[in-house]
Amino acid sequence: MEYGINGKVAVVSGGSRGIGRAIATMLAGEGARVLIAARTPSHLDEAAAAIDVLAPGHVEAVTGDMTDPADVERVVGVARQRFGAVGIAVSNVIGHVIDPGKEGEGPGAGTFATMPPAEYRREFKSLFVSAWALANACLPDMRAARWGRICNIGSVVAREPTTDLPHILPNTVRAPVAGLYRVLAGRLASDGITVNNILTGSISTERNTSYWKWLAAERGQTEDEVTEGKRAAIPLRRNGYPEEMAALVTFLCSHHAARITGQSIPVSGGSGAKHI
Amino acid sequence: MDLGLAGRTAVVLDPGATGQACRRVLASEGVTLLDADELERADIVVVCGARHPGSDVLEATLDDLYGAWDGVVDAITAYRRALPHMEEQRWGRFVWVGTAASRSLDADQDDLDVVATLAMRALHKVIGFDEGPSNVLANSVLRDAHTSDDEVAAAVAFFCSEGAGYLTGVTLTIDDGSGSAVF
Repeated sequence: MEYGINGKVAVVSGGSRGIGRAIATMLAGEGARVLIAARTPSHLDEAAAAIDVLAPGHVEAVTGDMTDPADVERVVGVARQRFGAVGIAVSNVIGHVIDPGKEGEGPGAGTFATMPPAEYRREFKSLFVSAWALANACLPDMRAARWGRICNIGSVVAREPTTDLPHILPNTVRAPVAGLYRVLAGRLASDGITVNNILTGSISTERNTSYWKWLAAERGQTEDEVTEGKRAAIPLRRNGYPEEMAALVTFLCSHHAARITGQSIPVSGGSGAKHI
Repeated sequence: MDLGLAGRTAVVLDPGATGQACRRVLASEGVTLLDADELERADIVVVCGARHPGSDVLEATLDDLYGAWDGVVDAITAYRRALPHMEEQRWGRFVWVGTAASRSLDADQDDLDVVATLAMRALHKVIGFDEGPSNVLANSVLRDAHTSDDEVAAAVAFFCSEGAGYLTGVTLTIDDGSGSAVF
């Protein structure tokens, strides 16, 4: 199917690994020119090299802190300079990590009764400010073109907080991001800009794997026991693949999805108890 | 109706008229009102979210966003100070007063309050699970521009009452039914 995004310019934050990399790869494969941004140069270079093999000349990489609005402006400026006006913005920034010294670990562990209140501000910066700043930085281009696609890689916990795990930070901050996107969708629809929020379920990434490892240690279980337990709660009985996240995001960027906006859409293998 | 609140203690955090109305209604039900520096012995903590009528995330500055978020962190800080006492006595009530626009966007525009209220509603859901066994409950009252302070105060008092003992992580929306959300 022709998606109509050939030649569009995309910025994908957190684009060097996992879900962000899969999205960047798929967009580039559809002919978009993609700027990926992330904090770690080595991961970025590797991802850019791999995408460039598949779609020569369709990818650029730049290091940046996508939770800092000034840096986001700079990164978007680079995309504009290299490729032209930005039409697609994918915000994919992870939140708090358990131990910042151990890369790849899961979201901040702690309960309402234990998490220091100041940590909520840091999580707000990571998850909310990053999404807000990327949308804001790209909006002038999108408005001028009267065409834009804004997607956030959120989490199923925006709709239903995880209650069996000590995830108080994402449990609290993901919902306002969904609200932000719903508000933006209403404001920007008349400019031809769609704004959607993906509710990520259990997707196989390095981060997901290391998180389950952490959980096994925490619970005194084997990794297999944790994996089995988690999968049993998913109707499709398996994790999703990053490419399955990318498939939805890429579809939402297509001209077929021009009237889909303000949605929070789960990619979760059918998990989740809420009706709507 | 006897709300069963006589002898309880409460801190109401809001310098404005809504807070005054909440204090008045709680006091009339026999609740002792404490100062903010006495949170450690509060049975009830009510926080009225700041209101920014007309606020727009597309016009907001980064400082505006963090300012709205500080309201969330302040509420969490207050809740946390009261929590050990509530857990120990196995009775506690948290109530947040926020915006009906957090349910459906046809309510008044106040984007900054939507951000804060969605965070608090999500947090309350988790507190419901974490602290339910301790009989510490967390609920929200949502208002629009037409909601009076007295209406808010009545709903807050109801959430604090014994009759509301099976309600946690829920909201009461006082909007004349004007919101379009199915639920």
